[in-house]
Amino acid sequence: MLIECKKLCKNYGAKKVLKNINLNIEKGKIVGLLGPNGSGKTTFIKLLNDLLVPTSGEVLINGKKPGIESKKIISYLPERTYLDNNLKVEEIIEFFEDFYEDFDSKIAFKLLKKLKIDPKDKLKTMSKGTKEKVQLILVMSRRAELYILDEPIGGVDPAARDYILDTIMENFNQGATILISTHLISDIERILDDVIFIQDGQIKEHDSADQLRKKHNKSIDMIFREEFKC
Amino acid sequence: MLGKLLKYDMKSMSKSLLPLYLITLGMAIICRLVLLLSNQISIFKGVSALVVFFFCILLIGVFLYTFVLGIKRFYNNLMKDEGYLTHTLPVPKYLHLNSKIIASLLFLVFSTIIVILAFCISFYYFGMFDELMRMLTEFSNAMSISLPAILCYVIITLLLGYLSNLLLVYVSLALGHLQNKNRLVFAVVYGIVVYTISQIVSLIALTPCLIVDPGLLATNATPAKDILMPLLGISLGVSILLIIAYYLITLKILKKNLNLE
Repeated sequence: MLIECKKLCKNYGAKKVLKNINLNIEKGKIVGLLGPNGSGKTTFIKLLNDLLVPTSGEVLINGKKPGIESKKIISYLPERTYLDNNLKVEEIIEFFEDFYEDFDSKIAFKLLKKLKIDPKDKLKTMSKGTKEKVQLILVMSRRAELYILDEPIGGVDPAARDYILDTIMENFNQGATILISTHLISDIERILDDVIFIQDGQIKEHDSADQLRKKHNKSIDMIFREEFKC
Repeated sequence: MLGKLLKYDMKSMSKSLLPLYLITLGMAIICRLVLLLSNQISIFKGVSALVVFFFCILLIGVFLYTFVLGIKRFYNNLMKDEGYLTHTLPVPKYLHLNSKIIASLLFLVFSTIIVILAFCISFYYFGMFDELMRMLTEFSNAMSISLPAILCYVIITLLLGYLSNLLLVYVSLALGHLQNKNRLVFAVVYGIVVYTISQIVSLIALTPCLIVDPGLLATNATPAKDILMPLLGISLGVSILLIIAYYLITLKILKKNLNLE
């Protein structure tokens, strides 16, 4: 197992955000972490990335608690713009090369060229959408074992969503696992192997995308719309 | 890894500080020229006082800006959005903190060199250093402490003072980070609380020195070093203990209580 969660709980003060999560994610799968806003998706992802510490229970990556070893194999795309605006794209590529042994700058430059982004441009001169694309390029230029993508298509226009999904599919390390968190299901349904439905901090369903479609006789998007109807 | 972290911290801070250093040296040359002209052209006399005043403000500003930049780098890189990248690098948390502290101290040294250089450019006159040495030697004799020891004490005290204040702000920001909302407001409140506690601790630590022999301060026969040395020693000891406490609390929060927005 690549990811194992045992009785995982996370509270923010009195608020219980994740409640007793037991979950296993295998290697080599593309997994959709699907749930409405505030369901606990980002908290779960932060726990995997050692950005939060569990209140109780544990999460294991490759059998170990999140830490330096897990960070070497996880390529994480947060929902935020996390790069220093004063840096040029080429400086950020140098930064990634310095810290991640699995970073392949050739892929990064190739993808930048394809998108006509000048590596000498500073981030502060770019639009929000372009910055998000730069981040995605950086994350996908790593030969990681686990890609964790938090709302990778949330902030971009529908036309750019296909580009982003294609970039993910064409560039991820074969044999790696991808965990994608989103509430825009119809856009990503086509690429998912497994689906995790999360609501109110609890796992409602976890199965292969095909099994879920068969069981409910509906698309994942339709299941989501009915399950999480307001 | 520390070297790599330091490289990027230094690079980031230098982007703001190098232009300031150039401006300071440029202002030093202007100040010198104005002072030279004021001896020959009367209209420059009034202007020179104003130029010297603003130049001195600038020199103080260099230190303040260096300090603020050390805090800004810590806050933006570890507690704001950039933290999503910083904290997911395969690097132990203490190295992030060490790198920020070392970068700040190195720039304090650079800023000090620039300020001394700028001061010399503006105000140097023949025999200035001889006069300075004479004054220091007189002071050293009066205190019965050797000159190298005095210089050592001054440098260590300044460095520890700077480090103590820097880490006081770090720990305040880290404590403010424990709140879910208004983190900066809480950081200011925690800063005031931590500062007050540190002052009380210092006072309690220094009190025995004065209580043991109340006449110590009044006795003319007592060499100055016998009064000053224990006070300086305790004061430095307290500073070191506070620095360690601030460091450990900040590190603990970064490790166990991080909650980026």
